[in-house]
Amino acid sequence: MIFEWTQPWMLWGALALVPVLVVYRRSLVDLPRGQQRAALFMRVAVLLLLLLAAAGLVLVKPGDRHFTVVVVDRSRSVDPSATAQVDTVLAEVQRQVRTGDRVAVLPYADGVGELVAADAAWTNAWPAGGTVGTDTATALQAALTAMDPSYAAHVILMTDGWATGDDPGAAASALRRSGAALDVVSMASRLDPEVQISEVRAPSSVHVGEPFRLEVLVDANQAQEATLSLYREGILLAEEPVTLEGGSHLFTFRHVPDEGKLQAYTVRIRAEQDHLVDNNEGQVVVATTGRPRVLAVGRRPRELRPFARALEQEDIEVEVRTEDGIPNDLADLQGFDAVSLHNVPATAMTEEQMRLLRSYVRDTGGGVLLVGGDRSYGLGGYFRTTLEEIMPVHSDFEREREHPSLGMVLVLDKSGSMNGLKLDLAKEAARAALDLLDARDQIGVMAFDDQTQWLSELRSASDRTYIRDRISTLRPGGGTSMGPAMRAALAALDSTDTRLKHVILLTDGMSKPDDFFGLAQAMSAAGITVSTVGIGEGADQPLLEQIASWGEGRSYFTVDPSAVPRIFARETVTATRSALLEEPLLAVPMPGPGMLRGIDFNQAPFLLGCVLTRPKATAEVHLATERGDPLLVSWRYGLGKVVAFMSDAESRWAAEWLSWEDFGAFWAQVLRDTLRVRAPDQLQVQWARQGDALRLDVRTDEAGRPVGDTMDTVTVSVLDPAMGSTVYPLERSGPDRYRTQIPISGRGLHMLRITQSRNGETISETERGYMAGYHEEYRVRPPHTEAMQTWAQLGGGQVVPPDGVVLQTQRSGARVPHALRPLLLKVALLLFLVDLALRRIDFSSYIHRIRSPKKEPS
Amino acid sequence: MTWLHPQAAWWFLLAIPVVLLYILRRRRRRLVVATTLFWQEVWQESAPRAWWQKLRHGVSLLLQLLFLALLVTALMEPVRAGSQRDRMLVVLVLDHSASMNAWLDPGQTERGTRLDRATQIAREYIHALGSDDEALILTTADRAQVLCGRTQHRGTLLDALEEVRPTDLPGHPEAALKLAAGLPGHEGHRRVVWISDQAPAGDTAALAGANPEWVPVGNRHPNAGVTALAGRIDPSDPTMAVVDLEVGWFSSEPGSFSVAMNRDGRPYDSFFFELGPNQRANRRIRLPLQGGRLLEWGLDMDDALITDNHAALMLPEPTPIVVQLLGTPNLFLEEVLRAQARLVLAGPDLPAEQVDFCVVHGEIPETLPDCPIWILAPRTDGPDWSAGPVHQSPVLQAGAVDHPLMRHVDVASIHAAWCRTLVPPAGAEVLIDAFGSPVYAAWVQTGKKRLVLSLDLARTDLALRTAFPILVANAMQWLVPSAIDRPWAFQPGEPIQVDPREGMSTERWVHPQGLSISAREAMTVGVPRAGVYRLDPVPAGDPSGRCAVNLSHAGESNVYAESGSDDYTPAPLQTGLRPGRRPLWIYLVVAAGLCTVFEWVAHHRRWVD
Repeated sequence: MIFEWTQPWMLWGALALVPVLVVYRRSLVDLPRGQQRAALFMRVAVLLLLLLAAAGLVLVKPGDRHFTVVVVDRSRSVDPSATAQVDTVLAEVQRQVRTGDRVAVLPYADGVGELVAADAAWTNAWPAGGTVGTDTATALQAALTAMDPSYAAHVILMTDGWATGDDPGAAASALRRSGAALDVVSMASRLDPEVQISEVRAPSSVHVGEPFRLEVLVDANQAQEATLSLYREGILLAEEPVTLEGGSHLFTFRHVPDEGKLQAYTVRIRAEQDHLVDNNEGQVVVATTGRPRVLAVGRRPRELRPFARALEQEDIEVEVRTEDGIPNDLADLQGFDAVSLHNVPATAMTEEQMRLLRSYVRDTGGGVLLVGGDRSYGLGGYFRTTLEEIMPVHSDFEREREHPSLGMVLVLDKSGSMNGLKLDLAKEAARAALDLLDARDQIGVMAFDDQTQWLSELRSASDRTYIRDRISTLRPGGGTSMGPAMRAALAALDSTDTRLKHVILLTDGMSKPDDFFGLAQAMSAAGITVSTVGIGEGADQPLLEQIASWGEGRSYFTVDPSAVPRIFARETVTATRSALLEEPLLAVPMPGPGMLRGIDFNQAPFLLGCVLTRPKATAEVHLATERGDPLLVSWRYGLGKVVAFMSDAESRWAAEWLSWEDFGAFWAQVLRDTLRVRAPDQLQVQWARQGDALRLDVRTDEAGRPVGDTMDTVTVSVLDPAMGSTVYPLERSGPDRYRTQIPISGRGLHMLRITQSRNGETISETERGYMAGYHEEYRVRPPHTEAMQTWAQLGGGQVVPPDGVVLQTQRSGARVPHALRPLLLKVALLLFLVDLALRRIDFSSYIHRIRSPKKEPS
Repeated sequence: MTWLHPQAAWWFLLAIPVVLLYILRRRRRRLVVATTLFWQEVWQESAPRAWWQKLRHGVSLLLQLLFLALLVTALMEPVRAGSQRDRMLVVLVLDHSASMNAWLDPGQTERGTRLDRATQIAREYIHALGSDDEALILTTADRAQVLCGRTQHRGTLLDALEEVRPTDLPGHPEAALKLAAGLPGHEGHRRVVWISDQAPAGDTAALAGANPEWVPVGNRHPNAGVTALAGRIDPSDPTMAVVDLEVGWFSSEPGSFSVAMNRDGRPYDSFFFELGPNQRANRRIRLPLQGGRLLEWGLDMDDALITDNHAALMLPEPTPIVVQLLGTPNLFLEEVLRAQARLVLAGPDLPAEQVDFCVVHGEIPETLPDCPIWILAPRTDGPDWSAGPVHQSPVLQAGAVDHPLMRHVDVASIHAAWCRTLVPPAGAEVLIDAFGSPVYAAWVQTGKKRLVLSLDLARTDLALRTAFPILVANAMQWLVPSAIDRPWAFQPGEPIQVDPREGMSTERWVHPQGLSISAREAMTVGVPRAGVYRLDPVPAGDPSGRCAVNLSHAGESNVYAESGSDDYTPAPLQTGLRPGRRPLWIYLVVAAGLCTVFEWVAHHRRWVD
């Protein structure tokens, strides 16, 4: 019990006692001294009481009064007959309420109403903001704001447990922390006959022509017949009668989109016995991503025309590029569902481009189709490249015995300028070339600077360990003199009996002058072909091209030392003349389902050649030659798929196929099987409706994201049904994961454009449509007892039946302020009266009369 | 003018005794005197004291009646007409989000934080309340909370302010504004006073309804902090973790700082950042899962906000998933299950409570175990599904392609010579169908997850396809979302999910500074402060029982962008309330006091009688 002042400065009024005391000292009144003192005491007491009253003296003491607010859910989902439950609760509360306690009713729905008395008239009280919506969290907080803190607060929440606003659990917890108690009474949900579409499910994104399932979840609380209709953009697509029992039912529609755009599908249900019509419709938006896009890359675009035309007729969009147009960044690649490389050698691609292609397949689920030709696979230098890693075949192969043997000399420049990476890659290239040869082949490795040095004399390629060791001893130093080395190679090959003889000459500089023309002529005469490889800007490119021309070989020039192994591999395979099978051959389908279902290969004409490869262990061979060589092989690599076709799609080997009636269908099926399975977006979007908001989770693609200080930002631009546009930034919720909540404003289509930016540049973007259906309030379902249990638990109370409400009776600990002013003023009035009496009545004479007997005056 | 207590008018009856006492002739005292020389004079003075003459000169009586009238009127408590409508309800909304913990002056921390200043401002408002004004106090951070209900009692309001606690929660003013806008039961004026370092923002309708007046607190000081931190398993190598660390520098000038990284208390790495004005940067860190679970980062700066200078992550403990294989044995199935990382095949005798999920192949047991179940090629109907039509050489098609269970599953390559379809319960999600009939479906029945694939593994090439291990991995992920897939760090206010278990109702998350919150409550409302929490008591299944909570919020760390000036100059507060407006009774009591003093003086100096 403590005292408080509301206007303590008023106590300065005690100065008024000074004149009282001073005047008393100089009093002219002739009252007896004792009576005067008593009067002074009274007057001072009166003044002090007035001062205390004016200073706002308040006595604060613990109270045991209770304020019970019955928070009543008056939303649409609650059955109107549930008012009887409220009456029961109120009666129970009124029965237990004690003197001094207060009871009130707070109606709520989407908004909160006014606090009303807990009598029968409460039914006339309705919340502000209508009954479509249940903001229980705000109602609980509002109840607390309305209660005088000098009362112990007790909230009785009456609801069906379905909230459409913020989480009431948090509000219940806050209520408990504020010292209030929370009990929950379950109210009945609507009991009228009701049929509703609870959910419509469909894939968020499909391709044109790709059939998809549209699932409709229907709930009914009574058995009856109904009609289910499917509309697209207002046009009736399907209608079927359905029989409903009490409970949930799942119905399915199948549909094939024929147009590339966002399409809204509406499902409606009609039933004879149905109370609410607002929940008879469900909508979903499907992004039809249009025709699949394929990037076709070839040396000469015109040669790809038949391929492209065939695919266009099969509703696949093809963009044809030359080898210079191979994408250099993932964003470019991501624009396509598959990439088709036609007779593209590995030497036409950088290592970075190959790595991008690998990421495109492995991490983003893209598809790659490799179409053969004389510059592909082994002949294209795929051996041991990143490209070979992702493809379903090995570019080397088991050569047959009748293939000619090869004698090959690698002439490597080891001058000082080759020091470092160039020399290391030259060694690796030499080793790769060695690995491509078999025991019938011979290989020699020679290094030159000013001098010529045999690292390994011409010997059988089966002696790999020795040759490898010798290649490793290659050390740089000296100038560049190619002539003597070429002479030594000529001499060595001239003395061998292999049927094919080949020299690969690698240099990065300008050679000392020599009779290169004579040397090349001599080699040519001896049946030796010469190919040249120039590395870097310092290489004597014209001379090397001339030597290759004179020596009937090929000339390569590269500024990228990493390309050297690919060049050597390609040269080696080309030199063996064994990777090609140029003869009429039939494509034989292999047993099993797969991509060629429905294509009649009995009617397929001959192919005129193919490249020989070996299928990898887990690859799937779909087509083979009659001899068993693989012709069409596929496998899944990471998230994507890679398909290898060993023949071509051009006039060289597929001249007769071009006129085959299934030519288009064949490539369309192969490509459809290769296309990205998932939506072609880098951004994976998921959403979930939470009350009046849409929770958006976006997963970006990490493949192209460099490790470092770069920052990605993701935003979503929302165009609501009223054509209002708002941009929301997404918060990062994890590596490459972002989230946000978007308020849903009304029913209708919400267009979402999600943009991922890096360093201010847009790197990916996707569009989705969310169709906000009927309000959650119209969803008919039984009371959510689990939620009510949770709220009661968090609020420190329990779920009780209407007639089981128990009001709290213990001391609340709430502080109750009592203003002492009325008491003080009343006492002051009485003392003032006594003071006047002391002034008017001479009590001394009475006292004197009592003390001494009465005498007659003399 | 109206009266709050008109019944007090009965006290006017005291005027009767006052008048009677005044009229009462006081008997002269008998005194022996030395002379009667002046008797005549005295007699003349007392001569007019007839009772009607006394009233004529009754200033004293008038003063006494005035005193009486003033006090009784004060007791009746007069109020001005319409003052009930003029009663003001002051809604003090006190922001106690994370940025309010910023020092007012990092060089002089004794000046306190923004929250200290905000609390002081709220006190000033309470002191300035008019006598008939009411106030209530809301606090706001990530959600609104009623700190003190509506009252006129300042003591209660001031006491409630003492309960304001700093938090590291992000600020979301919408809920408080909505609450302030829709307060029930007040007819008079309402003032919503928003005391914060950030201008009220959010829903336009709520802003308009509440019409808040912003009282800005705080001033601009540079700040650096960890603005985002999250990690997950490296998808390409499940033994490695990938962590994204984002830091921000909030100032108009460029700045640099280093961030030290510790693992289980031992130095692990450090990063140096040189950032431009208001710039953020991030680092991606790959590290093995083994070698310490607690990762901590610390900035070497004494800046405006301390909370965001530290951040932590709890790496998950890769616990094995126990799977029980029941029904008809199948080699492919066993091998595929064995190939899954973290998956342990248990014998059929293991009790269901020790099994994470169960795979039933072929024969369906009479009673299904009480755990998540994946049923493959069921030969008989189950408790909540039945067999559908049979198809020869069906064309399989993915149904819910967006479903996590179908992620990266290529259905087109699966060939089946024969298949039995199934009829799942309503609400089930159909993942694969054959000619429109479900073949693979998922549903949740009474809290238990069910996944049924009706394809017979012996009559399809599914087991040989790459789709199969992917299907298995997806199924495992869906059936048992393990701790490894949960967030490794939380934000204050974010629900902290833990597996429901026995004894959980008594578990509490305990902050290093002693603050604690029940684990059950934290599953709904999270925890209010950043730091590494530990569970008390430590649960048997999780010996470390810790979780990391980080501010990780650029908006809260950016204390430079907000209100105030660069220098701390606390401006005199203009509350705009009506401190001079006091109830009429005070004036009446004061007047009565003055009246009685004057009457006393007049009486004793014989100015009146």
